[in-house]
Amino acid sequence: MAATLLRDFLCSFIATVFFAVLFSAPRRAVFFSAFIAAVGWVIASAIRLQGLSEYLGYFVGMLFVSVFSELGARHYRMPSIIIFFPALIPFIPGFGIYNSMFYLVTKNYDLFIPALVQTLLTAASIAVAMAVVNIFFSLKRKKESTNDRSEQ
Amino acid sequence: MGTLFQTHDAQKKKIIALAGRLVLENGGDTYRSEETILHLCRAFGAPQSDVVALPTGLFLTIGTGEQSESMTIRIKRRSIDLTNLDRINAASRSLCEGTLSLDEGERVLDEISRGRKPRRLRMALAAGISSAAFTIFFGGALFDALPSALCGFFCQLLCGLIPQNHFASFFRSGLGGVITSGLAAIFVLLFGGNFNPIVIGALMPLVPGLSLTNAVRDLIRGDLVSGGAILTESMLMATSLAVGVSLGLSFFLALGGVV
Repeated sequence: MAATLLRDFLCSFIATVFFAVLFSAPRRAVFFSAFIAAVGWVIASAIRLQGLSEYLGYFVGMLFVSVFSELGARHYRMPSIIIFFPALIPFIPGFGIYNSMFYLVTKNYDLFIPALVQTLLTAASIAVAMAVVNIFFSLKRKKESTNDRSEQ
Repeated sequence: MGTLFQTHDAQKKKIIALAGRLVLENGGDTYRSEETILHLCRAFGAPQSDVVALPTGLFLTIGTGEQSESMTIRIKRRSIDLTNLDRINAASRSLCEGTLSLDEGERVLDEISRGRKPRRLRMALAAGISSAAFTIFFGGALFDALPSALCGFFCQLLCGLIPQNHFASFFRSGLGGVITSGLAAIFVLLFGGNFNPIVIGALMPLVPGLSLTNAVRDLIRGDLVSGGAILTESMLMATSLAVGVSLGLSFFLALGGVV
């Protein structure tokens, strides 16, 4: 299990770094993006390897990535999307999308449906985690600005 | 039509419109574009302003309380450039705080608007390496990393030559899908390897990740129009990608390739 996790960590780290270069991310944030992506993915993998639901893994992993990109955004003083976007990429169910399409094209309709469902559920887990963190931080922002105004 | 702002009327209006437009053109979400515009309006002395940002256009009204002026700006190109987003954000923040002069701010935004020389080779190399990493990530053998890198490299190189308008956005995905799966098919037929991980890894740069992210963010905020539009665009891109890949895949299977 440790070997798998290490491989996952390295691969997602490297992939995220070069992905960030591809989208012209500012240098100072690239390492951080890659790091949280790799850690988030390891969390997701570990949860899955422990026998728990893989969707729970994606959810928690994505939660981690989202929270730390918001925190990182405050630290680096940049829009959170800059840190978040490269780190998101390993979580996108590329395998699921491909498999769904593959089974469809090869007319394996009985395998297509489960693959599609798995893809959609993965996407949903990721989206819900993103949404939760997004809502939390925007409520926090609203609260901060209301407090500022009330202090004047 | 009188002047809106006490001083530097035309320049302030230009900066506000330019900042908002550039955010959308560089991959920012609609919330960020609207917030940027509103912050600048307030900082320049036009508190009665409002804006609706959509992926395809910007509609803003700058109002000082005595007068107001409306602008409609069409967004024609959309690409992802995170450094530009950072610079626009920094510039608008500094303009609002007053630490950046109007002339400097205008200069910075104009420079961003003109665009940088496209570093195609560097992008293609980055795409290649990240494709290789993703291939191994998706369970490919080390041997598969090389074809994946090549596919990613050429795909990025060729797709980068297509200009970025809305019309081309999902055409790019489709073309990328065909190129990637086609090249992968040729390589695997000649040299062997695992077709699936190679193609998936090489395709990751084309998957509409940022679009989906922005769509989700917009929908949560209640921006159903822009959220729905961006979601549709992502679906179109994903479908086009799938169609492209299925062409290469069919070619591969027809020539006796084994997945």
